Amino acid sequence: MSAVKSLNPKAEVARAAQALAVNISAARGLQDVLKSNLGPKGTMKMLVSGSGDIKLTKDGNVLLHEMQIQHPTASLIARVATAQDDITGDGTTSNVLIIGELLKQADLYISEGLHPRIVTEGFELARNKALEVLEDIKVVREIDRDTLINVARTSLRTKVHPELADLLTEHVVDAVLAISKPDEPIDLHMVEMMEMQHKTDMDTTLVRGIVMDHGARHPDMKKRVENAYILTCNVSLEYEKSEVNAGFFYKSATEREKLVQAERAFTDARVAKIIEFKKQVCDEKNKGFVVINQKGIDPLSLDMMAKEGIVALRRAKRRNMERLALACGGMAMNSLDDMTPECLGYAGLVYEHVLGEQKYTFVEECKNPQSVTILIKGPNSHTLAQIKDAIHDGLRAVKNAIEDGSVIPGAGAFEIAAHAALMKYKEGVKGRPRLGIAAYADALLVIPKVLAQNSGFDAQETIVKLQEEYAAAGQPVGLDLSSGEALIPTDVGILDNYRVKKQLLHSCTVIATNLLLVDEIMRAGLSSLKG
Amino acid sequence: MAGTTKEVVTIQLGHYANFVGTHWWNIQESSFVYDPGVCQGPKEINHDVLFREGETLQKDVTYTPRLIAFDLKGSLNTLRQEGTLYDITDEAEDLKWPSDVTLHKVDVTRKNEFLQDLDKQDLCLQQEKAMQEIPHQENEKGEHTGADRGDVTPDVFGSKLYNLDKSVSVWSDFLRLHLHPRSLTVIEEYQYENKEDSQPFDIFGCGQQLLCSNQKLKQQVEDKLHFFIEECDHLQGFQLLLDSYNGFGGLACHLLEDLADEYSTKGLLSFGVTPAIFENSTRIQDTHRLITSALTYEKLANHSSLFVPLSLNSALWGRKPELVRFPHLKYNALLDYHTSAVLGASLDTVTVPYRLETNAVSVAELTDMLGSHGRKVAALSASLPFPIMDSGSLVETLMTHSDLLPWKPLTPYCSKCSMPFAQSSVLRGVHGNLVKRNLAPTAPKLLRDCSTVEEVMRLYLTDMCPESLNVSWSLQQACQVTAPFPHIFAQDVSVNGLLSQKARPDTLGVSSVPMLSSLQSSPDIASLVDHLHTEATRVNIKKFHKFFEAGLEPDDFTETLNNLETLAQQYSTDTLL
Repeated sequence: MSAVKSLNPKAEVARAAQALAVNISAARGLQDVLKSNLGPKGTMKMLVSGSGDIKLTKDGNVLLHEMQIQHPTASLIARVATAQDDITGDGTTSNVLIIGELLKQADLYISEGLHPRIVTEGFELARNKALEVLEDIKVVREIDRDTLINVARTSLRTKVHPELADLLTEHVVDAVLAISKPDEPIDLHMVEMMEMQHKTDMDTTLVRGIVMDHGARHPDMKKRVENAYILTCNVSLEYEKSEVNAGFFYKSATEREKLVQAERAFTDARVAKIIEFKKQVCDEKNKGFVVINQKGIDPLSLDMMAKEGIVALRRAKRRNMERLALACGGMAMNSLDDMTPECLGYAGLVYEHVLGEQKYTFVEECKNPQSVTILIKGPNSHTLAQIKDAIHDGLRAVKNAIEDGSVIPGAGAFEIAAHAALMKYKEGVKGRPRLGIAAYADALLVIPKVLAQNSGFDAQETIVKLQEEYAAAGQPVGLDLSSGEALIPTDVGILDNYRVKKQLLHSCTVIATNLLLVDEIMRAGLSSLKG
Repeated sequence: MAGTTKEVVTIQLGHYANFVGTHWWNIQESSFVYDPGVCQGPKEINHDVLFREGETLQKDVTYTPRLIAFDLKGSLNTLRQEGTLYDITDEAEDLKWPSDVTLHKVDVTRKNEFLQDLDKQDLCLQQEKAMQEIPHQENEKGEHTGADRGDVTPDVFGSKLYNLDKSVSVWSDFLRLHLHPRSLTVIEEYQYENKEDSQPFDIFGCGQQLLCSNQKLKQQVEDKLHFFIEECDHLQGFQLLLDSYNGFGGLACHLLEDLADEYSTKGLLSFGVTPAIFENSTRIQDTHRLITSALTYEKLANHSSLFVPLSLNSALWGRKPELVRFPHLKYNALLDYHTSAVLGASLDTVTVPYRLETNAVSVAELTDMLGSHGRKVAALSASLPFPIMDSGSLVETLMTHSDLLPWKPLTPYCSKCSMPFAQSSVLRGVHGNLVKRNLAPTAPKLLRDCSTVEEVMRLYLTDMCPESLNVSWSLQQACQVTAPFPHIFAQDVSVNGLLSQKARPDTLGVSSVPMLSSLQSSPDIASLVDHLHTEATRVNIKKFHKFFEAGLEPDDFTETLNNLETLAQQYSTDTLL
């Protein structure tokens, strides 16, 4: 009888073996759900809600967000797995699989009477050894475009169909290379993703500049400007009441008119300043002038500018202001008082594209764009969402590779190598913790096993084949998903992120350890004392 | 500046707020006149203030609210997040994934009778359009034309009497109009009506942290706001409709702070709504609501130009709910569908000043008038229906209420009806010829000299509230309460909303009612804020760890309480005189 029972008879308690069984079954359950996702041959899942909303995904992270997980243990694991995604951008499915498998392997020993504490000691040792293996196996080389392409392709092939994956791979790598600056952390926010419901997914492109989802609001403004100066500013160009309470202090209608005119003149003066500046810089005929303003521009101001041949966009998004400066050069002006030609950006081509009620403005042909846009196209919104998720993960993978300065051979190569190393290491460890090490080593094999299963091969046969090959070749071997034979991942360009694997080893071990050491589950919080 | 529409963007946060909002949009939609030929009387309301005209990819013209609505995952029931208006009739799904695809389909939720009829109507309109384009195909589709079309299209709602009390569980169950695909935002982290195990969205901090922690949501909100704001030529402000008792309060405050920062010169009018009764609520839930309300009220009073708390429970946060009783209404306080209808109708009336076709004031002007001297909380009162006998007149009605103001407060703890500092009242649905019909000769001469509704109102208000700053508006258009407005009117309200001796037959619904509403800055607010302050002070905040987990500091809470106290003092009449 648990002590808490005597205080609160309503408390629900599960002890020792029962508690462990609860945790293990939850972990296995989650594992079963996500198992079929792993790898480029996993199953795509199409989720249709009661009202008909469609979601198309294969990403473990997206699926975990979609599932309504009720079991507390399962939701704990799910949260760790999604945290993995937040930190490294990938590895959610692997995370869930390994945690489930660690618990399963541990259970074999625990059911024979081994204390969970001993198992976890073995886990700790095994993790440290596995991290050493990871250091050994990682390929440190100059991260050139080819390497990045390989990394991005490995990631994207598991998310979208192969032709699209290859297309996106190029875009993703070029986007990151465009925005990366030597010796500075990469800010992926400088890659804008713009969705356009139009044509097919294969029309997704990389725009070396900015695409904004709004256009000039004046019929007379040009739809296409070449050789354009770009003025980005954050200055209100609309008539606004300057005095808050002015509305109630007019004595007569004419006085009101006068005040309105005075305030209007204030706005007009600002517009006039821009026009004058334009005339100053655009002395030649073939120069265009585009104003992109973060604040509003009212129709009268638009009209004045349209007459002078200026194209003006209003209410630019705050996040685009920074990007514009990076893409076109120049800087965002907060006042119109000290404008100099140096403040202006430049774009070779600015044009508008209209799609239904939605207008898009492309700012392209910039001189040295340090902010780019991936223009996602697709026939419907769920395709757009799927591509967006995939690109997001692809960008993270490329960024990780650059920042790590190294990559890991994929296709299950690391797990095979780690298993072999751990089995050898086990022999040198005294006492029962070696059982924990063995459990850990076996658990890691779940990745190549599931990869083989998902491609339609026999799991045991494949593993044995790979282990033999590894022993013979002496270098990391992975699984060829199309033939079921062994291959050298670095030769065919299947490369994973170093930090994803590292994070995976850390977080899986910690969570599995914690769950194993739980010997009592109780629910007796205040919320269960209703009334 | 005449001739230009000054747009307002509406933001709805929370499930109950969406209930209220849905009623409000429905009421507006029912007053639309699609056929220019049948237009009766002058156009009084400029719908362009709150609605926008758009175009689908098929070049169909759409007219949808300029609205962003937030709700939790799983709260939409049959409504699709992107709506069906902009749907592209899709060819078969083209999946290029080389290996297996599994389909996980949730059972299709059944639509209720009202929604089914709406779909039918949409279908008819589509067919009619198709027919006009390809007239020669009419023969093939013969069975769909003729009888079907004639029946269903125009008067599906005119004649049929719905009883939706049982079939409405979420707000989308009675949404009459289409929303723009960008209008709805679903918060994926929290589940609507969740089971005990998952996390509830009941804490101020949950909402406040949401926009910081979820970059995707933040970007989504920015994009949506941008979409609706960018197209406005003369944006005059925002109106927020929010649940002030749960996490949406926090979300609203965060959003409001951003808006106030970015659009400092625009009006920000916010309405905080709370359902009348929470069923099966535990003490802890009650306290969570109380603390969240305290935090929300303080923030909203600070950042919006004017904040109006609304609930049909006039003793909010108290032990026992005290419902606001309207003499001619029989509503079921347990149904959000009913209570939100009263609030929705009142909002439709009270917001008339900035939606008028001519002589409209701006949101900022309205809020400046009522929210001066730091008194940025205001109370709303309404009379639904405005009790005019079918044989009586406006003057007569007002005279029978000579000692008592005719309206009931919709803001909690404001039932004393003290003289307001300032008020803006709107009377609608009273026709000019009802002003002094059959007027008894005993009526004061002053009243008999009045000839228009405006004059009577002005005189009446000056008489009743001599010390207040009174502004009044009137319009002839009554408040449309046709389906899906619930049947909450008593038997003595006739079809056209006037009171009658004869009971209305059960088979007939009320189609429109006259209404009076008043938005006031009144000393009563002090008692509202005082109550909130005393109740919240009584709570030992240290026992409610969830708030601290969600980022609240004990000092912040103390400061909130102090600010509430200061706010209450702003309304005290003693210090002024």
